[in-house]
This record gives sequence, C-alpha cells and structure tokens, in this order.
Amino acid sequence: MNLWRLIFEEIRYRKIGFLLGLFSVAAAMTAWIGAPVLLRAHDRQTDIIMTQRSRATQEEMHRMEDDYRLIMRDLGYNVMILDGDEDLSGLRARGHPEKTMPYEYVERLGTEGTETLNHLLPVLQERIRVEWEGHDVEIILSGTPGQIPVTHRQRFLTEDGTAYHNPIMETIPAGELVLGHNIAQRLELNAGNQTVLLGKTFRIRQVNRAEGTTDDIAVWCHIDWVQEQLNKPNRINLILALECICEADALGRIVADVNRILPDVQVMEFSSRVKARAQARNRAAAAHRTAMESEREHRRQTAEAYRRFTSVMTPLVVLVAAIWMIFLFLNNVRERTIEIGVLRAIGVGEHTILSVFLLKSLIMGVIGAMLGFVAGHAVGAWWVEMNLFSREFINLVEFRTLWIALIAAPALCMLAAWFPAVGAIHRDPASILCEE
Amino acid sequence: MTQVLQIEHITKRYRRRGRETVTALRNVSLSLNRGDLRFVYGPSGSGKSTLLLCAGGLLRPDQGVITLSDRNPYALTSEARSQLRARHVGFVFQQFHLMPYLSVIDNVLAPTLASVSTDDQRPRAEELIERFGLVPRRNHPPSELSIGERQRVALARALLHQPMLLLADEPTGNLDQDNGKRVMDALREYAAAGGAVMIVTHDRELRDADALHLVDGALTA
Repeated sequence: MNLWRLIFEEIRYRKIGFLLGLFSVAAAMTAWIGAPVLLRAHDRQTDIIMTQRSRATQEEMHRMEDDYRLIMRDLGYNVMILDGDEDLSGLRARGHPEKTMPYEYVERLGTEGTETLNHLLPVLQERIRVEWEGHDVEIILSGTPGQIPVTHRQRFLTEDGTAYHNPIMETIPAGELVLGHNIAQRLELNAGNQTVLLGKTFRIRQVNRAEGTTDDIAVWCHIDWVQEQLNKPNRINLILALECICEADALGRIVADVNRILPDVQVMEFSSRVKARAQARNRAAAAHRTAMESEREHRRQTAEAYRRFTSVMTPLVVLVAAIWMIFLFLNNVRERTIEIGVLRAIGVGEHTILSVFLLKSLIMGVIGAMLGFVAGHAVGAWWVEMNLFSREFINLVEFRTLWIALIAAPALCMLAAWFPAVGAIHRDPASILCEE
Repeated sequence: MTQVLQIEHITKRYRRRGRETVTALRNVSLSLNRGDLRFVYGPSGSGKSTLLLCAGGLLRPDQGVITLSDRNPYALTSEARSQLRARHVGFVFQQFHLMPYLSVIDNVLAPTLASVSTDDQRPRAEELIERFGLVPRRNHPPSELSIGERQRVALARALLHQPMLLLADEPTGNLDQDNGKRVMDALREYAAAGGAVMIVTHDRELRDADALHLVDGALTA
C-alpha cells in the first residue's frame, strides 16, 4: 500500500468529483491557452487571406490585360488624321501639328460614308507664349467645335442627327476654357474662376487631371475664337478619330478608308490604347489596395474585439474555475473527514495526509493542463474556422505553452487544494472520531 | 510484567462555547501490562471514548500524565506522536471506519502509509486475512462486506503492526452474537500472545471480574 494507490483508488471511487475538478481545470487552461491561440490563428488567417487575395488580384490583372486587348479590339483604334505634309518626327516634341487642313475635311469624313470612323473631333492647336494672370507662360492653345457627327452612324446620334448621345468630348461653349493640369496649377486657376486670356474674359469650365504629357499645358476652348486668334479661319490641323471600328492589325483599313475620302492626309495611331490599359490597370490596383486595406482593417477590428473579449473572459474563467475547485476540494475534504481522523489514529502523519490531497490536485492539474492545451488550440483554431488538420494549425502550436500550462495548472489546483487540506489536517482527530 | 500504558490522574474537560463545561474524565488512573485484557465498562456519555482517545495519544488530557511505551505522547511533536501511535497503538472502532474505496487487503495494509516499517507487510496482512476468514473477500470493497466482516477487517488493520497496545471502542457494538464472540476471541488471543488490550464497552455481558466501571468520568473497580 502506498500513497499513489490510495490516491488513484480514491479518484476511481469519487470519479464524478474528480472529473468535475478536471473539467474546471481543463476549462481554465482552455481559456488561457485558447485566447492567444485564437489571436494567433486569426492573425495567421489574415496573412493567408491577404496573400491569397493578393495572388488572386495579380492573376485577375493579368487576365484583365488579356481582356483589355480583346475589348480594345472590339472598341477599335484612336487615330490622328493630319495633313499629308505634316512632319511626324517633330510632332511629339512640339506637342501639336504644324500643317493645317481645311475645316471641310472633317465634314467630308462625317458625310461621305466612312466605314471605320465613329467619332470625329476637329482641332486647331498651336503652342504660343502669352502674358496671362501676370505670368509669362507657354500654352498649347487648342480649339474644337466638339464632335462632328458621322451621319450614317445613326445609333450614336440624337434624333436630328446633329449631336451624339454620349459624346467622347463635350463641346466647350464660347466664353469658357478647359485647362491642362499644369497650366491651371501654375496660374492658380480652378473650375469656376474668371480669367482674361488674350484680352477676352473666360470662365474656367474644367481643369483636367495631370497626364504627364503636353496636354498638361493645353488650353481648350471653342475653335472659332482660336481660329480668330491664330488668324487661321476655317483651318484645323488635327482630326481625332476615336474608337474606330477595326479588327486587329486593321490600321491599314482605316488609312485606306480615310484616304479614299481625303487622299492628301496621313493617319497615325496614338498612344491611347497603352494609356487606357495602364489606367485600367492602375484603377484595378487601386481598387485592390482599397479592398485589401478595408479587409485588413476589418480583421484588425475583429482581432481587437477578440482581444478585448478574451482579456475579460480568460481571467474570469480562471477565477471561476479556481473558486469551483476550492469548493470541490472543500467538499472532498468534508467527505473524507472520518478517513482523515482514522489515518491520524493509525499513525499517518500530517504531512502524509496533506500529500494525499496535494498529489491528487497535482494529478488533476497535469491532466487538466494537457487537456486544456489540446482543447485550447482546437477551440482557438476552430473559432476562426481554421482546419485542425492543416499545416497552418500545426505551425500554430507552441509547445512552450504546454510547459507553462504544466506548471500553472498544477499550481492552481494545489493552491485550491491547499487551504481545505491544511484545514483538515489541523482538525483534532479525536474530535472527528468522537463526533462519529 | 512490562508496563505498556500508565494513566495517572488524568482529567479531561470539554469547553463548549456558550455552554457549560463538561468534565468527561475525573482523576482517572489505570495501567496496562503486556498480556492484560482490560474492560472499561460504562453507560453512554460516561467518558469511555474520551479515555480511549487520551490513552491512544489522540486527545490531550487537561491534567495528569499518560505514559505509553515509556514515553509521554503529549510531550512529543505531532509527527512524533503519530509515529508512536503507528508503532505501538492499534485502534478498533465501533463504526469500523474502513476506507470505502479500498479493498479488504488494502484496508488491512492502510497502516503502512505511516511508513513505520520498511518490512513488506503484505505477508502479515495475508496471514491476518486468512486468520479472520476473509480470504474470499480479499479484493472486495467494504460496501460488499457484512457487518461482521467489516469489523474483522478493522481488527486485522489494527493488528497489522502488532502494536503493544490495542484500544477497542465498543468492538462488538454492531455485531451479532457469533461475530461478537469471534472478535472477542481474537482480542483475547492477542492479549494472551503478549499484547495489551483495553476495551471500552457499555455491554454488561462483556465485562469480567476485573472490569473497571466508569461513571460520570470517574473510574471505580
């Protein structure tokens, strides 16, 4: 007969009391271990989700590029129609064409049955230096009357055939200006401001976004005033033909179509496709960033809520478990009062009797710690819907916490058992036996 | 004759809060030598159990001296007193007080928890189980034993360490005639073998010619 046998037989005999104690230790350890596991699992899930979303976005953007090529094929080309003698090599540096064409060219394109052109925008523009708002500035003065109808494209036009339902560029009324971003910034002009340009008062209709091109120093207004200022009545130097209907590699068809009507012009594609693609990509990336930030913020708030919840619940559960264990040990000691009296009578010392209770609480603590360790990890991961058989879950396990639990739980149990047990061994055995 | 127990002029009073003091023992003296079987007879409340507990080193008297195996147990520390009890005293209670979760063999071996002897006590325990006719019940818990069997287990437990002094409190109080006789025979046998046995009882039939009478805490011949 030894102490361990006595303890195990007693546990077997009063198994419900022991299981209740074990449950409370395991619950306390589950809460204590589960709380940080939950937070770690949540953070890990966040990382996984963010990585997955980021990867998905990359794939989506690649797909978008392919889609965009297809869409652009369907939407068509944006081309510039220039005078046949225009020097294309200097065009980019100047930022505008030099040679002019008769205004009637655009009218002919609109009325003579083009097969490929949809939207026509005649422009007269020239780089000039002006005194404006007290500054000596260089601007590209650009005039346009707005879109010229392509008469047989009736599906784009209003009923009277004189305007577009959804024009690519709105007509700028006389007396109003649309400014490039750079020039507006330099002159500190904003939409709605009044300004005097070349002796005429204008209202600023709009300030365009920065493009990083010569468009940033463009000043757009009605073509009549520009023709007058540049002394080029009924002249234009550029026709923008937008969203031309063509399949891939069909720029030649557009050229042929245009030259059929206007033999002495040249046609060139401009960079809007690349630009539009880049803009679409940027917009998608920005949308992705916003979504990611929103998701990250949402998960941060959830983690914070978990943290607040567990910071209250964990100590509460541990406290309730400790009180409950003290109650269970008090009850156990009360049940065993006679036993303690008899053990004392047959010569078993106080320390040995104290050991009986403390070793029992030690067993309870060790088993409870191990159960709590397993349950804490399982509950923490389950709470955030992490697969318990996944590698992420295995990576989440910190065996350091098992060692801490194996110290904390038995300590908690022995503390709970200590006071009732000490109270019991200090009771007079004679009074216990006399009571019986 | 070797003296085992010497009780000299002991008095024990119980002071209960808010109530009058009760004197359980008044100037009681007696002695037990090896081979003695001494009955202390008295009605309920006469102080029999108090005398037994004082003699066994479990209850300190207010006055007087007790010498157990040449030592005053109440001059010892609690742990040393426990060791003294474990080596020299065996108790048998009216209510048996067996451990409900231990088998017969483990109950008999319970005193080994006091670790007074490094010898393996199992053969001795098996011998006692056989002697008291408990072999068929060896591995049964107390709840599966008859009343008589329980008292025999309690007696076997008390005799495991072959104590010099066996103190029995109403050992036959809950037993039928046959079982009572069996237990008394065992106690007489133990005394005949050199042990000192003190039995406190209210059973008139048990007392013999040498029985001491305890009346209101005072001992008379």
